[in-house]
Amino acid sequence: MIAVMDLTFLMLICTLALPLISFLWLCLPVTATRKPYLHVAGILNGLAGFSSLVYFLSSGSRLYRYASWEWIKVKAWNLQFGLVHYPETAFLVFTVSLLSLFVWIYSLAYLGVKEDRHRYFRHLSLFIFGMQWLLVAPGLGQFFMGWELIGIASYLLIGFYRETLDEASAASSAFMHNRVGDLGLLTAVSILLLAGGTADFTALSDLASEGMYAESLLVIAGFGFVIASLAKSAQFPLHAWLPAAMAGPTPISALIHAATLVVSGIVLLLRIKPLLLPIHLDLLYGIAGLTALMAAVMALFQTDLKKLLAWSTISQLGWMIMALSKGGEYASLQHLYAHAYFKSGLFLLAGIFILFAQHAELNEPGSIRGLKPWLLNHKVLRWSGIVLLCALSGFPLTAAFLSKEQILMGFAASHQTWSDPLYWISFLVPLLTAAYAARLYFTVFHTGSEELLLGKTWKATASLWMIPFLLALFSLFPLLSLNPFEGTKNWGPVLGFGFYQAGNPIPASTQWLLISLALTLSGWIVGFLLFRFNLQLPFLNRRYWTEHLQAGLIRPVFAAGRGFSFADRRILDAGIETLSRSVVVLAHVFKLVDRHLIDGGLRLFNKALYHAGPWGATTSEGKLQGYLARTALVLMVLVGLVMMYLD
Amino acid sequence: MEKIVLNAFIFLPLVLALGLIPVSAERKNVFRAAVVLLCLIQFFLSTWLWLMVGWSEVKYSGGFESILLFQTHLPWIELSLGHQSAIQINYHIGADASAMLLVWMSSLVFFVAALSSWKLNEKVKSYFLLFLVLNASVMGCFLSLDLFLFFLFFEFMLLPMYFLIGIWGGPRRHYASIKFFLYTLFGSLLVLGVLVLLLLSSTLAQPEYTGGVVVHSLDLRVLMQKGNYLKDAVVMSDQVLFAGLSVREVAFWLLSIGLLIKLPAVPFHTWLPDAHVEAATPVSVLLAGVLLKVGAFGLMRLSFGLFPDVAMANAHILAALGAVAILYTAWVALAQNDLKAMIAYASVSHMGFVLLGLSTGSSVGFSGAVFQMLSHGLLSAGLFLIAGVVKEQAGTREISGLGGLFHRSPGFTALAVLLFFASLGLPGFSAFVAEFLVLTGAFSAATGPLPIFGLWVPVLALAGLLVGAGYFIWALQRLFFGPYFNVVTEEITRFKAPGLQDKLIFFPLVFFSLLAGLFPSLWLDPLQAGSDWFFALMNSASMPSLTP
Repeated sequence: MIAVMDLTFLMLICTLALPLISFLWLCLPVTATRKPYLHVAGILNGLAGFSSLVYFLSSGSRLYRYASWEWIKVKAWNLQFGLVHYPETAFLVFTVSLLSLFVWIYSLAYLGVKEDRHRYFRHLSLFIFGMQWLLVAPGLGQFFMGWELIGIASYLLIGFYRETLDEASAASSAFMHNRVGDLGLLTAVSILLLAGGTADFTALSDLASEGMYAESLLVIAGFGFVIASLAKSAQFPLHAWLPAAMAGPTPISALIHAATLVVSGIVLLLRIKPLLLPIHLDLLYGIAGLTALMAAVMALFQTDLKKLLAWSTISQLGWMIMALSKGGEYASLQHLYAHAYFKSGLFLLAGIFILFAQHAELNEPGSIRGLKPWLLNHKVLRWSGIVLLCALSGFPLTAAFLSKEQILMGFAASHQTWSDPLYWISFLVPLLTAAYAARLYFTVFHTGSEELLLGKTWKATASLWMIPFLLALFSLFPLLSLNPFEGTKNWGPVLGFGFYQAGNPIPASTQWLLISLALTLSGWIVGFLLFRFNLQLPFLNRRYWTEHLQAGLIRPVFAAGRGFSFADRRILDAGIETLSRSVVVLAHVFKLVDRHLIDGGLRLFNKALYHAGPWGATTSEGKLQGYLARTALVLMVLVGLVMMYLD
Repeated sequence: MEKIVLNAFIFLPLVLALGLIPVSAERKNVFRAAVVLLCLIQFFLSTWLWLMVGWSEVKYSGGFESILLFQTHLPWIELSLGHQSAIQINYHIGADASAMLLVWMSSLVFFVAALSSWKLNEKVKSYFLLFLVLNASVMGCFLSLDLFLFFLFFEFMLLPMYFLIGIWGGPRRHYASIKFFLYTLFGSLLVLGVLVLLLLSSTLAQPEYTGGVVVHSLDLRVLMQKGNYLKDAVVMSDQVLFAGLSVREVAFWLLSIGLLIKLPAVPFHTWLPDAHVEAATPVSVLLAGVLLKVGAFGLMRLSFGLFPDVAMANAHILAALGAVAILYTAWVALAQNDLKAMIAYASVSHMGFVLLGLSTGSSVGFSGAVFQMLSHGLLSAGLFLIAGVVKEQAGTREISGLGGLFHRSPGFTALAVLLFFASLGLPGFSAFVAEFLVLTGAFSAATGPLPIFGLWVPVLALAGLLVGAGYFIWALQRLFFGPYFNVVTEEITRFKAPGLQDKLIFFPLVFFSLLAGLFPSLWLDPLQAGSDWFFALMNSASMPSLTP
């Protein structure tokens, strides 16, 4: 079924098809570092970015199903492919295209003229397609396909540097963690398909609101969804892959592991929210709350810049899931958008620092610690960094300030009491976020002496510094609202197109503006004090969870595998081998019996006859009485035997 | 026309084999080219039969007959057993959609295997003659509708396979080939025993209508109707034979074990890794791609088709076997150091899905099982080709002895990554569709109003999928990524990038796996009649025992 071809639809098709074409183009077996080869793909993605902008601006505020066709069809149910416009995530479609375009340009400079960089851009194209495919999915079938595609693209991109095994094992770890979530999602899809015959998002919500699903099935399906979103959004206990994934190229961390892939867990929750029971929402709230707090503390004491940002991402995602599970769809989506821009900006900025300092260590002087003298020459970088850190802290005039306030008001409106520790956490997280932002500022931007940087003349090229600068601009309040102090006044209605209107926006109030500001400022003070007194907790930089996972799960699993393998070879197979051996042994026994007993008996008899011959011959002396006597003897013996038998 | 084509699948290779006998063994390329050409012709013919015939229009309307097409039915052997009874054996072949699908898939795999045999240089003549005999007997297995004929082909497969492993194999090939032979021969004997029992219990018409004359037959259509069994047939009675099992149940289990050995299912699978490790690459391709399907197909047609009541009563046991096979062998695969042994165990794990799908007794499960046969045929063939290239280029298949092959050949690495991901169930490839259908069938059997088995069965299968991802990912990491090394030789130039023809051979496998993953309806719609038949058979208890 294809609806009327209009501009929005056409642009949506282009947004999806161009990255796919770019992927296929880069799959061509051209052994080329030649620029045109790569730039064709770049232009395709540029056009995709433009199409997504037109799509977003021309799309309406109602959910609209543009096209759908059968994928897997059996009698009782089917799964469909399709293109659907969801007003609440249309902006995310644009964001994905825009950020990937930024990252594309940045990566060209970041990677330099690497021999096999077309591989990087090929996987990047695949990722963009997978993400868009997921975002326009009409139902869980296509969603799952996109979900897997971005998982695999992420696997390939984390492992892009193939020099050591570290990247490969980080990639494997990410894939296996995600696989756990995939199986949860797969279970949920199966069960919902069987119960209702559809995996379509709108149909699922309708059926759920009509109470068509048995509660026991919803419980199982809901747990499947919870596991899936925890894995993709890197929440405890499936969080360990994200810090490890920082082994990949930094632009990839910016795009995939901060802004897009990791939020697909939240997109999933948003789509299937009506199916979740209170038990799932409570579970999500609890897990996300603990993760958000834990990750914020980890971020506060990280000494590796990229890992710090990764923990920060985990924390922010946890905080968004907390908000979502308490009914704040609008607020968490707003924060998702704000976070996508400022976090990828921070990552790309970090990439420049890493290129300059050649590593990501924050504690050693001369590395990223103390870049002040260099940054004083790089005003754009410096100011971009300051704006992005303000956005991270949720300082007024940034977009994150608005979304933060929305989230906090949502928590307050959800009728919780201060006796609930999770309620405390929901306020503690933004404070800690501001704290590590401040600490990062002081460590990197505020200290440093000239001689530490002597001899380092490297300067960022325009295509490097331009991107964080643009992202810093995007992190300011106009992203979400025309009024810097009112998060509900987004500019959708002003310009006359559908903007993210999901959920229940709450009008701002002065009280909450002040609370929000106070959290930021007190966080900054905490961060400054930590910096000033140089409080370090080095033990937080060890990968305890990964080590325990290795010792407690991975190694036993492999040991069990070896055990099973041993059992297979040495017990199961050996049993059968013993059986076959014993058959052979038995055959030899039979052979012996055959040769010596049966055959031998026959020969013995022969021999006996042979030897008995001469003896018997003596009896044939020709005397009649002799014959008679012998005959009588034999007869008597025979008769005797017969008598004995009859008796 | 279609009928002739169907017969040609069996007779063309045999005729070609006869024709090639007088050709001098020196002229190797004649054999190679002839066989490749034959396989190509078979592939085009089967594609034509698959596409041009409206398989989707075939509707199940009661009875096995209704889903069959292109039957050839010729009287063959008539044997009188005294004056009151006789045996009638027919040359009866024909196909339903699932058989046709397997013929199509087999012809593709045979084509790929023939291409990859091109490089083989020893005893070329006998190799390709055996190859042709194997081809004919596999096609015969899928197409025969008389069980005598089926058994004949089933047995005939053993011989060429035995020699193919035993002559062209690795260092322990004699051990492996004898193990293969004994195991499968043992299975065949069980099948034979049950076939004899079935033969003596069947009759074309009840004796009271024919004046006491009984004509026994092993025709599948005859055996699938309970009216065609003698009233006092032991195979229909639920008289207890031993351990609380009736004759019918014992017959079912003997038959099933015979076929489960071929599938193979845990615990009858240990011959397979040995056979694979020792066999040459194209032989492995055939073994995994085609021969295992014969076991699965037999299980579907014979165990489930002829004993639906017993099969459904024991579905929980079969499903448990399937689920355990999926998880257990995946786990064993995780510990393998030989790439080929790993793929062999993975193969057993994937075939577990066929067993699980069938034992759900649902039409989704059936579709999933047949789809898994298709998918596994394509993908395992590809995986064994990968192992072959690694062995050929690196000199070893030891996973721990190799590393960083990526740096030698990024193109080959991309191919391996593609096939590994397709095999572990990436949506868009055929394996995902198959596994999803089977899982859905398993969930429906576990959560339906009358659960056949507990939720633990699909959960075990899911765990198997997780472990399955584990061994593929781990093998990828160790073989291809990180710095390059090779224990066999210090020589840094070792492991050349495989040539274009080595890569092109993967193309049909990947292409059709992708096609089946993106447009599964091309295969699922034609299978609908078959799955309706299966569902009706399994859920009507149409063959209750005759004794009250």
